[in-house]
Amino acid sequence: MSIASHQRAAANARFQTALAVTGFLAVVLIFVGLLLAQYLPAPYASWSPERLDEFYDSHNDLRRLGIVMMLFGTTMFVALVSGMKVVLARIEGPPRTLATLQANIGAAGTVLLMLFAMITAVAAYRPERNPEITQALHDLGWYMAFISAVPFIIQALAIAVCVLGNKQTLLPRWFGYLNISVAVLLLPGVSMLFFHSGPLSYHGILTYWVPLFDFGIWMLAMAWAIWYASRRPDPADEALARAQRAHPLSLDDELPRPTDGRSDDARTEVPA
Amino acid sequence: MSSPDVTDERSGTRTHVPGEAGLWILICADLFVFTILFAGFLVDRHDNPAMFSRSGQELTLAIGVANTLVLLTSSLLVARFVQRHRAGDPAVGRLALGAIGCGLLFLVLKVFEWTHLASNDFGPVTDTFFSWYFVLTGLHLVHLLFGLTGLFVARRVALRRERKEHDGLVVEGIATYWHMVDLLWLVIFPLVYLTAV
Repeated sequence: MSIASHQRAAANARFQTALAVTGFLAVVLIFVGLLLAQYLPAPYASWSPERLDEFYDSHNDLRRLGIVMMLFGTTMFVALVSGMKVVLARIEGPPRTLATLQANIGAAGTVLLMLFAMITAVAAYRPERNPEITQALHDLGWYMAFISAVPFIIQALAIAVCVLGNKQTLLPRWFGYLNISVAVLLLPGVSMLFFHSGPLSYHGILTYWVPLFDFGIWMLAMAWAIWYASRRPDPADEALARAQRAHPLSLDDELPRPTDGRSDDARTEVPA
Repeated sequence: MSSPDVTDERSGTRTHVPGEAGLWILICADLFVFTILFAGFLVDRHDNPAMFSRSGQELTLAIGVANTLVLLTSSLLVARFVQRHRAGDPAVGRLALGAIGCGLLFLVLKVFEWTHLASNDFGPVTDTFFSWYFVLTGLHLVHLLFGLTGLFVARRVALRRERKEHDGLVVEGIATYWHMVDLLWLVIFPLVYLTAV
């Protein structure tokens, strides 16, 4: 590898690490934000509009601060989407179908998470209004975060198929199974539409607690995967390095070349 | 990933983990979700036994029994399929096809049951029992559809002319998942259909 491509690889690894750290910070911000906004545990789906109005009337400044933190945290989810795109693209090579699917659906999901913070911000903005309007806004905001399981299920499955469906050494296979499990644990969330109490209502164990912690663990796992992959060379580079160690003086033509058609000059250079 | 099979031929002791170890993360997560659902169902039934009993009678027990038998048969076929595949039997495709047929029959019966209920004005918002009924059977059906897709894949893998290194793991993993789908139904059936008895 030339000095220039070495430097570029090091810079890329640093940016990837930065994305991983951002993802980790996002988890912290969302968690603290939820606590400050008193959304953890969640207000009950069965509460009357008046009861919910009372909730929004109390500690409202602290709640607004929490919502601002959530706004930052949820937006930072895009760091994990971008980081995972790079990791999946390295696994797949062109035409990077699953990496693209993951990135597009992940971006859509990020918008929904941001809307969760934005719409609950509107709910907290004028607590003196008609309680039924506050309830409608709160419900709407809540649905953005918790019935939005579908895009995240698709995102997790895209990651799983990419990790499990390719012969690859960049990420361990259990990470693929973990992503299917994430999807499975998010799945019951969509049934919150039918319940106002019990484990499937929007404050219930399967539609709030399990998805919330599932999502948090998923974000941490993605941050880890991005960091882990950033510290490992591409398998093609590894093969090249091995061949160079075995035959340090051999000519460029005799070295194994990457077959995925990428134009990274680092792969075809002979050591000086 | 290498096979975790460490069967000792001489002593006959088996410490074999079917499929890949990572697959069991998924199975455990799935069983965890359904365990919470079952517990939630039981709590609600405990709070309102009369309604659960009354609404439970609206279900057709015969369809539930038929679906149970269909799934048990499919599990038997899948188990035979794995055995024959291990033994290298080239005619295993028929066993997989039989299991797929059973899965499709289950799907048809379930859709028939749902449309029958819907035509009698029973839906997910009728009462708590029917909310549970549709959520439990709906989530189970989603799992069954994934399982059916898996069985198609397993059949293709088994029918390939040349064996690949991980074929055994793939077939075992899919079979394990299918058995889980069956197991879940074996809890859902008495919980939902026999609640009125």
